[in-house]
Amino acid sequence: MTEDDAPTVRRSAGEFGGAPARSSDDVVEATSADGDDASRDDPGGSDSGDRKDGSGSDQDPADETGNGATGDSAEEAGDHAAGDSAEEAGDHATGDRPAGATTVEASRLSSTDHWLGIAAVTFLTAGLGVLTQSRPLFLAAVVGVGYLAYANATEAPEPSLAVTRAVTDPNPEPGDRVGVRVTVTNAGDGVLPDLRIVDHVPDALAAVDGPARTATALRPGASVTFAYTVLARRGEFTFDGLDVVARNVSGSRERALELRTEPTTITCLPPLDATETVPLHGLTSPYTGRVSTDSAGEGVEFASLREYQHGDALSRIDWNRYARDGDLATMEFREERMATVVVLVELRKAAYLQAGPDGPHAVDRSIEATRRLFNSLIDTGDRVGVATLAPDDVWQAPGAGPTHQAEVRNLLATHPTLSPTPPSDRVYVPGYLRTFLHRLADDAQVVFVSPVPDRTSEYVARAIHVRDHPVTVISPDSTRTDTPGRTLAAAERSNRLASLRESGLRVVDWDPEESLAEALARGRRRWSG
Amino acid sequence: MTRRLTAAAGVVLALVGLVALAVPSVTTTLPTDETVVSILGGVLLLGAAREIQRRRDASFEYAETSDTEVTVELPTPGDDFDRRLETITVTRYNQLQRQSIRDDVREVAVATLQRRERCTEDEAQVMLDEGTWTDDPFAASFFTRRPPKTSARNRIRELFSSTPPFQRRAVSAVREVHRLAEGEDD
Repeated sequence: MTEDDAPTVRRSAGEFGGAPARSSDDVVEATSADGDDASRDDPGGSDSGDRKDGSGSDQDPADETGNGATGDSAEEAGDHAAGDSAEEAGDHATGDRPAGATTVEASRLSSTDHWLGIAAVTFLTAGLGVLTQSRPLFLAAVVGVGYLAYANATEAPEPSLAVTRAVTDPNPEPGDRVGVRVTVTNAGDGVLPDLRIVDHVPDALAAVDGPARTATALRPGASVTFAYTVLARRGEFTFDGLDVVARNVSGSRERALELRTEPTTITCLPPLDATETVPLHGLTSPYTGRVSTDSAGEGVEFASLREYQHGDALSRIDWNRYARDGDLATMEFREERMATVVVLVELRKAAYLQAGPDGPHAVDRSIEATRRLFNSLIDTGDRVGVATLAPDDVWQAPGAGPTHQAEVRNLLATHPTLSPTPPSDRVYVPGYLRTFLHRLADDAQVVFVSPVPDRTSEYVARAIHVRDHPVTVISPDSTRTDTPGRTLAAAERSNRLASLRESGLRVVDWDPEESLAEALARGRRRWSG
Repeated sequence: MTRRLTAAAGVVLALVGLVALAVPSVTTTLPTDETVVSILGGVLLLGAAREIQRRRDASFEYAETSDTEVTVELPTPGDDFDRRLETITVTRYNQLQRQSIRDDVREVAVATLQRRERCTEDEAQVMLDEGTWTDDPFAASFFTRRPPKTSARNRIRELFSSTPPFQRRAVSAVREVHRLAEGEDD
């Protein structure tokens, strides 16, 4: 229930980083004009709302405002909001539409059945009073009639609200705390005696400080501000909705609205870093790169000696041997070539798994791994592309160079398909594989990043591998062993990975406790040993 | 519309009542004998009964707001199996449910045995049926479906344990399968 949460109510929009003052809009001007004392005053009996039902707090919402019930988060956000973000919100507000204009997405009017018992009491006392001819009993019914009139005289108001939202940092780093301040102004003509507001926090973000909701009463032109803090994570997130419940004075009727507000977006791009060298299979392109091949030619690692042929470079002649035997021989080195790699990330619904309630989930870790692999491979001069095994597939063909790098970085950070929340659609895997294999160049190898949640993932990895595109599976482990079911799932996954290894695929089992670099190093030891 | 009409009628009657306070003669035309008053009382009590019934059937219906502050919870692999296993009780025997749990564990057990013991699927099935795959008598009896080959004391303890024997054996079997699967890597 909203009333159980202590709302962090700020007094007026006047304090709101100056954003409303910048706008010429009527609504906001009204707000600035009498916003200061607006929420302090008790607009038309807001103390008699459903707070009499005993389930809410005894405090009048206006009292809470007056007391300055501001949690730390509100203060904190308040301090920040005076900075860039408020400026930005202000700029945003000077568009064609009035500042904070909202549209109603859905509206539902209903009875709360709040005063239903009163009618029974009234009838009962009146009936008994008449039958027993007792005047006091009969007169007692008049009190009930009074309450009935109070309960049914008014209808739930239709709120007309202006909403502005500001974030402390629209471009945070992952893990940053971002303050969000929402100011709701009663832009209509009527008093809203009982208003509950819940901000739509994007699904993937958690509000870590302060509830993203408030309850208050607003007279025309008055506004309320509440603030909360979210923990930023990779991706692009839009705040663009608000749930509102408006009740009449007696709380007998209510109107539940879903409002669409002007969108506020935070974009969180992970920093660029490449830490680990990715061990690749021997399949390479004809171009010079860093993957050692078995063919002899130019390179740094000695491979073999052969008889001198006319035209061989002088620098490659083994002069020691010439000095010893007088024979001319040419040294050959392992050729180092460039590899073409496609990193395929599994984003099927089944891959959205989490080992326990804390920490990043499997897909977050997969995308994190993809980003690191991509950066490392690009740094070592390979051509890298990115693809997703998802309902809406993403394909970024292998490439190199700064533009490609920037494109992929942006794609990994903000593409909606790479969302931290599970997709609702399913993937038709055989069809997907056909398209994917068709797109792959002949010399491309695949790094498949997947928690391998079921047989389908195993099948995908195998299907690509047998079509001469060697597959390295990097599998973030999201299993636990604290309950029988989870233990069984862990054993199942272990079997799946073992069976992939037996088929010649390279598999890196990435434990949540270790870094990707450690997991890759462990994998490399296994392959070289 | 009816709401308005009844409200208006109520207001008119209230006014008549107020007027009657000042001019009592207004009410003389109204029937006030015992029977009419009793009938009126009865009707009011009936009304009360109806309202009490309505109140009893109804509960407050407030709009629910979403838990917007929390992120979407994702499952951990195996949660579904845990849920199914928890519904097993001694008193309500559900053969199909038990069979599906047994099949699930068996499938993983067969794959694990094939991998670790380097045997064929049929050999693994035989090992499970005969209970030779593990030293744990409870785990073995989960697949053999015979009483565990253990001391009478242990069996009595199993009988008096708060967890149903099926559940306990399933847990032992899962633990053994996992131990096998996680053994030294080949």
